[in-house]
Amino acid sequence: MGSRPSVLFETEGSYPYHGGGVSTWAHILCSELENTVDFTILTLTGNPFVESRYRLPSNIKSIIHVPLWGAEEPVQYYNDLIPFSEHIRRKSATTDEVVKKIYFPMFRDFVGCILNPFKPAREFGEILYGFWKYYQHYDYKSTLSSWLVWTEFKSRLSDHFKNYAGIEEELPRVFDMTFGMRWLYHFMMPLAVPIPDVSVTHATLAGFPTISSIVAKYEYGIPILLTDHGVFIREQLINIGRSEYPFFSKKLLVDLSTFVTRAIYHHADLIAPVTSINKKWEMKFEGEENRIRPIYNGVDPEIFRPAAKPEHTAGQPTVVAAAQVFQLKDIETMIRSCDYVRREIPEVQYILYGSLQVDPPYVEKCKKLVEELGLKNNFTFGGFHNTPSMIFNEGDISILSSISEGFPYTVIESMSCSRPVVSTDVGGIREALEGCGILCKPRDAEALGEGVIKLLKDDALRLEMGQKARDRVLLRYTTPQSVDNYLQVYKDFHQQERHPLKENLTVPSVKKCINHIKAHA
Amino acid sequence: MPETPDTYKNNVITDREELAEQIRELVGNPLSVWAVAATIESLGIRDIDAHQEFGYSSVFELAHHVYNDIKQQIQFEAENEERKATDFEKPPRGERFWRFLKYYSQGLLFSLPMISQIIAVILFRYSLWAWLEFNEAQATIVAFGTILAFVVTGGFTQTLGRSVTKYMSETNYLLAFDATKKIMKGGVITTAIVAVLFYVLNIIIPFYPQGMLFLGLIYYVLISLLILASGVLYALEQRLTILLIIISGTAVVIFGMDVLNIGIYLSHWIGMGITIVLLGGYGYLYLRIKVRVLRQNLVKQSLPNTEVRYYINYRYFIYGFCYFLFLFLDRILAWSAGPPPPAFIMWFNTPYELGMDWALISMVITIAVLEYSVQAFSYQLMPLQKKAGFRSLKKFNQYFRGFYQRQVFLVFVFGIISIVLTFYSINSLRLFGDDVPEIRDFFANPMTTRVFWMASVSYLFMIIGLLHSLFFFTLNKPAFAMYSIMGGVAVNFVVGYTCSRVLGLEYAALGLGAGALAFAIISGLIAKSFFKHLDYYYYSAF
Repeated sequence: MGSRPSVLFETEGSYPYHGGGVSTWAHILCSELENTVDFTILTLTGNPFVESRYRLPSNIKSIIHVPLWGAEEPVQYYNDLIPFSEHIRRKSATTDEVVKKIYFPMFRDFVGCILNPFKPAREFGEILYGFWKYYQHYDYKSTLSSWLVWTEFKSRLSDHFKNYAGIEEELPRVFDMTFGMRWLYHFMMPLAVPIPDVSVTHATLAGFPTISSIVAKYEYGIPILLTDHGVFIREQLINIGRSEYPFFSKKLLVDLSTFVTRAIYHHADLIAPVTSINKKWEMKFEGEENRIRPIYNGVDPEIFRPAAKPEHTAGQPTVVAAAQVFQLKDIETMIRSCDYVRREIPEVQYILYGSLQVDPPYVEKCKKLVEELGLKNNFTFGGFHNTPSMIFNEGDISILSSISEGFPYTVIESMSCSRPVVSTDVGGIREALEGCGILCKPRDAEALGEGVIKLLKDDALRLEMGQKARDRVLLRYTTPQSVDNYLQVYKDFHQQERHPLKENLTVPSVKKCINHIKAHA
Repeated sequence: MPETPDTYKNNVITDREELAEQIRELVGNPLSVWAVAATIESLGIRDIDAHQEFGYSSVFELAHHVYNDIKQQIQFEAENEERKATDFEKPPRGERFWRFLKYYSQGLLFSLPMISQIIAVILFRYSLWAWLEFNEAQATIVAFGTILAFVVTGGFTQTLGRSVTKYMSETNYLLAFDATKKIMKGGVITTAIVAVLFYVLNIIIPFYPQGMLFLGLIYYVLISLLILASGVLYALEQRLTILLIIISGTAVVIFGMDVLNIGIYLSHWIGMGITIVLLGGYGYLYLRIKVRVLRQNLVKQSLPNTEVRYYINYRYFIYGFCYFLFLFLDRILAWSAGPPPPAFIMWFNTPYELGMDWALISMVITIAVLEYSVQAFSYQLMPLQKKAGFRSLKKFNQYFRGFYQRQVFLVFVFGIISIVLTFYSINSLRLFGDDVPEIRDFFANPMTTRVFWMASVSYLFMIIGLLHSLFFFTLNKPAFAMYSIMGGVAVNFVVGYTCSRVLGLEYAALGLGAGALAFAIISGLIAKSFFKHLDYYYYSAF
């Protein structure tokens, strides 16, 4: 281990191949630590054809890219250090006998865990480790496409639902089985990824990339840091729950996510949500209070600094918002609040900056509402703005109408520009905003409107809150403070003595696999 | 203060029943209390609201009650709803009929370029590389070029079809373009190497006079390029364009012969050259424009590494190579057998070839059915998986086994009808034998009719094998098709060689029949297991 910490930084659908809040945070973190910490990025993407959206700093030593979909032989992307001929050798070594004797017992335990994802989470970690060890010697694709594995999956499902007398709709269909097993193949792909020996693994969500963290803790005893921007399992529950899949498919996906989430919360040395509000969910899914310590996001106060309003908004009471237009941002309520405010302040203008591409039908709905309420002169969709630091200074105040949030950058960015925020009281917003902005009940256009009127009409209050907001950012939410917190954790973990968990395995199927590998590898 | 209309607050839910209704609308049958809690939170309801508006200590507690409310309601509805057994009925007859017509005609379109060549020969005496006035030596060397071209390019066209189809299904034209360029390059280089090898080999062991071989190699190279270029357009499903270009090329040949009088070789070469350029140019422009219009060149993408590409495609390549070898093996065996002993290692036999061409007509009529069978298979796979409960998994597999058997039956019926129709319709031309010398010549040798019967029945078995192979390809199991056709080639060779040497040259067609039967039986046995465990093969098609 070198003198400076090295980090296996795990992402999914974000840094460095995709944009968004998590990617921005990740890029700032890696860039700010260019001279102090080395990073290896392990990133899960939807397809193999992606390009970095960022100019990567020199301390990003390598990227392990795992495309979950779209590659017939995905191993070539995440394990390209050994020639493909070696993978072919592994394929031929993956005989029915090996699958039956070594893989089968673990797979049986695994399916049992998926069907009951609230079993003790330690067992999950051991099974994941057993799988990983196996896949370092045998082929991932050949194993999972084995007839034996499929038969076992069917048989476990059959046993599980043998005496089921509940709602017919909840029983699996053929589709649930074929696609369910395919999902296992795709989502569990990190199990086949070789893991570098680093000081610390840092997962940026409690989802599938964290499999590598868990395995690294067993193999090398590497400590785990987990940053929860949102709550992965909560988001999965919302998104999968609302999807059009049949009941059992949804349940399987959610249970698989629950399995992974509980495993990582159980094994993480430090769970560092970006807001303490996440704690509520984390603790329900195996996070212990003494291992949860928020590390807040930060903004650069030099970039987000107060400035006078530009010419085009000067002299007009202006409310700005920075939000992509989709349902969770509840732009409809924002529009209705504008209507409410207009009755009191007819010249008020709302300017909403943010992509209109995320949910086009919803954008249309919002535009129609603006028309219906006759707000064309008061409410403007500004679209994507490429200089976020300019947005907030265009207004007197800013507004956020979301019905669900973690710890949004837009709030602290606005505060840093001395623009008080009228916001719904969701997620971790209260932590940042209380006392230097106005918090309202979600979906309540009247309350939002009242807040806006109050701040627009009372100059002294607005200025006072603006100043207070800026002071609070300088005190708690700057980039250097946030980055220093992470650096400290990296350093502590770097120096920490390691105790690989593989020394104390308890699950018989995993022990059998490890012994086999020791004997045959 | 402004007056407050209801619209400012009407999104706020304060009633448990209303909340349960909304949750159900959003998620249907909820997965768990957790899922309900998360959805409640996503509606903007917080712990404080759960307490103040609903009287519960937290969102989780509220979720617990809402979950129970919804589940009870669903349970009640389920109890009062009549349980329906999974319906495995076939699609309505009318729908199947129209679907059949649609895909059968598409299948015919696939063969139209070939049919256009037969028509051109009948009407004008020329096609892109054939001429009725060729003497046997010329016919031998052109046939040599043709067979060699099909066999050498077979693997490449199969791989091309597979790769391009895969990327097209993902609407990834950039990689389809890259794959096309790579495979075409491989095809062209291999074609050239084989040409040089034959040329050199003929110097060492003179099978043909060098000039004759050289002529054959020119045909071989041009036909190879033509097959490769048309392979691209087949993969891009531009069947009508292929037909139009082939017709245009044929028109050039006719123009060269009848108007410019530049001789058959030059006419053929110019005609084929123009056809190759048009086919290749069209494919190139088509892909290039697609890539540009869809702006797919903005993200860096690349094909898998060479070794991975080879690994993914080698089964398709071998299948393609073996398939075309299978198709022409009997001719090679027949034309290299006596009596009388062939003048060179392989000598064109007109009655044999006419019998094969005659049988080809029945094959074209039958093979178009496969387009329907494969489409119907893909069309039904997903909806039935969604419909079938896991307890009726056996029935699901049984349904598709039945479907498979119906397709085999359909092919058989079509095959037999087409053989009989082809036989009688061509045979009826004997009536004009006295007036049309070509017809008289056609029936002059009884070998033609014998070969027709052997070949047409062989083709029918081969089409059954192809039907199985297409099912295997649909679920990404090329090895099954590859081993089946390899078995077919081996049997074709052994039986064909023996029969052609023991019984007479035309009995090389028995080898084709035995090989086709072996192909159909081997692939049929695999297909039996394939459909018995269709659920597994569908799952493992990733």
